[in-house]
Formats: sequence, C-alpha cells, structure tokens
Amino acid sequence: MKFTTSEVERLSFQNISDVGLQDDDSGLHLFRGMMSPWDALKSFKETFKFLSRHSAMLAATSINALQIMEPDQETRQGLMSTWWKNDMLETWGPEDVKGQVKSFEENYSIPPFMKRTMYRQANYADWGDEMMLMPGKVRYATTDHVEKEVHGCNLAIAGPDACDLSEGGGQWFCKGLYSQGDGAGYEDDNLYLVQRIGCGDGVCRVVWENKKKFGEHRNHNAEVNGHDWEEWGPPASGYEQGHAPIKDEVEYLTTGYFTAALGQEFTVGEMYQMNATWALPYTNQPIEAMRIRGGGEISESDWYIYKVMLDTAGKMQFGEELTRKTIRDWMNVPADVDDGRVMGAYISMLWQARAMEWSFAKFDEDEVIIDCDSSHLFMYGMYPEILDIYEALFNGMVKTLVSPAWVVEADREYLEEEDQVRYIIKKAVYGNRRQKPGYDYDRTEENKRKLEEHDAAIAKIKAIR
Amino acid sequence: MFYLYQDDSLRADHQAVRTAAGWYDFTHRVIELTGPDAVAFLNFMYVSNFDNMGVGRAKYTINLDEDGWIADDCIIFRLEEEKFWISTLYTKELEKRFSWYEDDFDIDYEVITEDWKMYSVQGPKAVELVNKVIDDTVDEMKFFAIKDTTLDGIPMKVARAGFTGEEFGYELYIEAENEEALVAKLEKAGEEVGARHVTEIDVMALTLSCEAGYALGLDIRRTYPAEVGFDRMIDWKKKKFVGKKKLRAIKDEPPKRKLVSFDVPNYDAVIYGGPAYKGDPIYDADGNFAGRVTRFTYGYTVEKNIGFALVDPAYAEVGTKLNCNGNELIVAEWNRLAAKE
Repeated sequence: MKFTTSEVERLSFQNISDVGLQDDDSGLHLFRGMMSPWDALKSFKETFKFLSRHSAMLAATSINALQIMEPDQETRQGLMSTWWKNDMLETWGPEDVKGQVKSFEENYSIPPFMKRTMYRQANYADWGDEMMLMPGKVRYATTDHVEKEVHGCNLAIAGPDACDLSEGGGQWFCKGLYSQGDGAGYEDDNLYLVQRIGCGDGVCRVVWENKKKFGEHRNHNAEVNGHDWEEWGPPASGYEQGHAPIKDEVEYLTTGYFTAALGQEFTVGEMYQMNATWALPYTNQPIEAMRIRGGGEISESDWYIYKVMLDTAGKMQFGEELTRKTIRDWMNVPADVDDGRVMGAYISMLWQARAMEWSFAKFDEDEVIIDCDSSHLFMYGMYPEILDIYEALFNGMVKTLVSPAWVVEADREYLEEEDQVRYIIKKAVYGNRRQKPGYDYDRTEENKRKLEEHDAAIAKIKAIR
Repeated sequence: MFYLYQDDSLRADHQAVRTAAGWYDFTHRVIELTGPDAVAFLNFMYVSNFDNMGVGRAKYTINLDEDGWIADDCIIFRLEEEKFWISTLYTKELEKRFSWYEDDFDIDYEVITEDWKMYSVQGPKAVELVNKVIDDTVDEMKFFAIKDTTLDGIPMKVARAGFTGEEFGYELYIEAENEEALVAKLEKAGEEVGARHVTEIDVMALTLSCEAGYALGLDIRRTYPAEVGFDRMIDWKKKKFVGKKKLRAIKDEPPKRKLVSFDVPNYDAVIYGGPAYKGDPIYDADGNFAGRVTRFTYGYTVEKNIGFALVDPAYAEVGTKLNCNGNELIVAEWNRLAAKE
C-alpha cells in the first residue's frame, strides 16, 4: 500500500496547528499539503485553495438544488436562515452553554472597553472571511459603523443566496452577543452589502452600522422569515480615485500568520485547521432548509432532487476531456492507469485537504476501497447526510473522470460496524439514479440474479486467462 | 463611502477631550504579578529595568520575542513591593510567554480583567472632574503615578496616565461590582464641569493618540525597537532579557525601516493601515516601494488625515512627499499637537 494512515498522520487536524507554530518563518514549510498515490506533491497553498474551492462548489450545488425545490427566493432564504438564526443565537446568545463568548473574547483579544462596539463583530467577521480565503480590507471601523471590502470570494459562485446567508448570520451573531447583557442599546444593527462582485463590481462592500445612529435601512421581516438582511445598495460602480489595488489572495498564505483587527495573531495552521474542520460552509444551511421543508426530515422527493443535482455536478466536474486530462496530470496518473484508482486518488486528495484520518483498504485496478473518519466527515455527527451527498457526487464524478462503467458506493454496513466511512469504487451496473424516487433498480431480485451471473461469467473468463 | 472627517460624533468626542474633558470606559486586560521574584521576572521579560521602580509608580515598556521583535507594549504599575499590574490588550499571548519562563522564577500571576473596571478621564478639566469624584485629590500626583483612594468610602485606585497626549489624564480603577457608583459620580460631576461621556472607540484608541504621536501595539509589533524609536527603553546593562541576544547581534546595524508620522492632504483618501506587512503600500515619486501604512485616521484638532507608516529610512525625513493609493502622503512631525502650538 502506497499511502497509509500513518503516512498522513502529520496532516491530521489535531497537529496542523502545532506544525504551523513550529515554523520559524512562514508557518508553511513543514506542512506537506497533499500527495497523490503517484507522488504528485501539492503545496500548502494549493491544498488550502483546493479545499476552499471544493467547499464553494458543494455549497453552490446544494443551494441550486434548493432553488429547484423552492423557487421563491424569499421563502428559500427564510428556510435557510431560520436554522442559521437559531444556531447563531444558541451559540452566541444568552444561553451560552458552551462558554463560546468568553473564549471568543479571550481568543480574539477583545478588551472590555471594546465590548460595546462594532469592532467586536467586525473582528470576528473579518477573521471568518480570511479563514475562508476571502481577501479584503476593513476600510473603516468605528463604534457604530464598519465598512469592509471583500476582494475575492469563492462562495460568490453560489450566488446571492450565500451572500444573504452571510449577512443574516453575521447579524444574528451580533444580536446573540449583545443579548449577553452588556451591550444594551446596540442590538439594532444593519448589516448589508452595497456593492457585490456578482453585480459587476470589483469588490463586495459590506457595511455594518447602528440603526439608531444611521437610520433604518430597508429590511425584511426578521421575525416572520427568520432572517435579517438587506437589499443591495447602489448599482455597480467603479473605484473612486486613490483606491488601493485589489488583493489576489489572503496575506497569511505567504506570511504564515494572520493578524486580526485587534491584533490577535493566528498561525496559518490555525486558520487552516478551522477551515478543514468547519468545512462545507453554506452546504449545511440548504440541508437544514430541506429538513425544515420536510417537517424535521428531508422528504424523499427533495432528497431525490438533491442527489440528482450532486450526480450532475459530479459529472460536470470532469466533463471536458481537457479537464479530465488536467486532473490526471495534476495527480501524476500514469498513462496506463485508467480505472477506479484515479477516482480513489482524487478522493484521497480531498480527504487530505480536509485533514482527516484516512486510508486505502484496497487500491488496485479492479477495486478501490477508501476509509475515513466518520466523525470528522460528518462534522462531529451533525450531518450524517454527508455520506449520501459524497456518494452521489463521487458517483457522478467517476463517470467522467474514469468511465461510465464505474460506480462509487458507500458501505453502510461498514459504517455501522466500524464507525468509519467507506467508499468503494468498482465496476457495476449503472443507472439506479435514473429511476423515480423509491424505485431501487439494483436491488430487485431479478437484477441481483443477473449481476451474480455476470460476475460469475467474468470470474470464469479471468480464471481461463 | 464613509469618511472619518464627516463623522460628527467622533469630532464631538475628540474635541471634548481637547477642550474640556472626556470620560470613558477604557478597561484593558490586566495581569496581576506577585512573588519575591516579580522584579527579576519583569527584568527578564521586558526590556526596561525595574530594579529602582518605586511602589506607586508606572512604566511604559515593551517585551520582545526570541527573535528580538516587539511582541507587545504595556504599562506596568508597581502596587506593592512584590505586586505589579500589567495592563495590555493581549493577555492570552502574554500568559503563553510567561508560561515558557515562569519555572525559573518564584512568581504567581493571574488575569484579573474581569475583577476591575477602568475609566479614563482626559483633558484640561480632568483634574477638576476627578477631584469631584474621589474623596481626596489628585492635585499633587505626578505623571505615571498610581495611588489608593476612595469614592464615597469605596476603595479604588487612581493613576495619572493616558493615551491622548493631554497633560492631565487619569485612570480610575474600581472593583467591577462598584462600577455603577463610579459611573453615576462621573456623570454627575461631568455635567458640572462640562465634560462629555466619550463612546467612540476610534477617539479613545486612534484619533487622539495619533495626533499626540503615540503608537499602538499594532504599529510596532514585529519591528525591532530601533525601527520605531523604542530602543531608548532598553537597559543594555541587564545580563539577560528575552530577545537580547538577537538585538545585540544587530545593534550596530542601521535600522532597515523607520516608523514615521504622516499627513494626507486629500480628505477623501481611502487608505488602509495594518500590521507591518498588511497596510497599504507607499511609493516614492519614481514608483519605488517606500513602505507600508500601519495606521490611518483623522486628527480633529489638526483637521487632517493623519497616520503612521513603516518606511525605508531614506524616506523618513519630515516633509518627504510620497504616494499611497494615488494620494499625496507627507512625512510629518511626531507630535502634531506640539507642532501646532
């Protein structure tokens, strides 16, 4: 076996931060990034960008699936934001059972005299943007008014639904903090975008201000829809004279440390650790929205739509022949390898980027079996749906990355017995996702019998050869 | 786009401090250090010498990392022979640094941030205001002194210090549970002397201090002391202190950067300041890179956009004209208030 768990131990999320801290200059050179089974080594920077882009694409697919289920934007945003709001208030509000606020204030060096200012949430939001590889600059920050430019954002691919979620989440984060009791009078915040890359602007401009000082902006009914975000501001505009150049990427990828607005420093390892463990931002909100739509559980038809979307997204990922060739080159795949190993290698890159414990249980031309830590993958048990989500996505991917003869299946029994996620990449009958919901083509008795006959015939031929 | 010079709230807060008095919650993070080796420990952790520091005195100083770079700045109060308060913004880092060396010293320390509130009273009428608040007076207090006092019998401490450049500035420390009593007294007395309750964070931390030429931790972090003019604090006679080895090795080399103060005549300039590597870049007339902005704000007394920058020493002379984001940037005197007078 080329790649084992022990080989990747240094990439586990538990030690990434330590590795970053040991570095004397950049915080980068001890971190290996990713390595393919054919020794294609990827830098830390590339790994971080790969992960961020992947998360954004999965968010885009999930939100687009929800757009099919719920075409009305108001309703859709309300569904996603309802959970988001409750989560923010639960995490940061008066019932702070986890002590998050105290640790947040300590970790971000928020001095007591700044608790009543917008510096506090601006500090956190700015850090969150940077953590997700969104370079930008806080142009203006006072007690009651914050303006920030965001120069790049992979999540912009997901569209305005993601932007709205971000605004709403930020607002409820803030309301939660102020409900702690020491911020009376500052609970009325406006957080909105006046410029957006998706409107043709060069940057997103985020404004956060106190309604009492700056007046009310047009706002949706938070109590009814569960969200609190604003309409876009003025139409797309150019830069004013004397504007600084747009940043291509966050500085800490080069310097090795990020300095938050109030001076707290985070190593590049700590930033990466958060990204890898938090992972899949804005994929969880559409999932929660589907749950709410289904009255607590995702309905069969919604789940069907979602999986078809994931399947399609997976196929599109390597649909162009040039893309397929490029990803093979990227992983240093030998010319004579064109089977499940290519897909297995790609999954292994993703698991490495997410800094998970993982291993190949099998890696040959007939079959690839790849295992990983279920707790980490499911975001500490919060999203067991991720098993099916990645199954659908990978099963689509393998069709264009390798060939339609291949499938990716999750081993649910293995999960139950070993508490490990196992994906099996093999040749099998393809087509179960083209049926209507509830129709399971593979598992009909007739089909099982045909499969067994087919497998037996193949085995016989192989034995003769 | 919003500009500082247009903000009336900031202007009113700032001018209240310059012309009468402003009072505000300015509670920092505080570590209480105690033990027989407290002085030795401070001598090791910080660049200054604490051997002859008297009880009731305060000292502004810096600590370095092992590479000789400035890690943090702080004010240290000597409350008793073996008891010090260290006022900073970054106790998390400081605790970490302390923990690396504490085993070699007979000391104890704890973060007491939650236990004490600190209200700052700054401006020409600060003496009058503080005298109305406390049971005795601050008439005889020297700069950077701290003493015990009472407020209607409630024990508290008063220090003569500040971050505004005002000749008269005081910091009132009171136990958190008695904060309301102090605020009520400040409100009442403040009204009587024409003082203002300052709420703008930029005024407390940025605009007033920048006019007076006071650097923030963020302006100086990850610089060598000589680059920002803080080498004067170093006691080279001390046998050991964190970062000394590295500093000694480069002691005779001229600094590669210098922290300067600057003006930007364009009121609508959009400039971003940040730690050493992060602020907007500055160029000379030929387009050569000159340095980076560490702080950009507005001085309501001098009515200018002002700030600090780390630049190549070749550009550090007062009056040098540079460029940042298409705006003219002129290197200025450190203390604009003195220059204005």
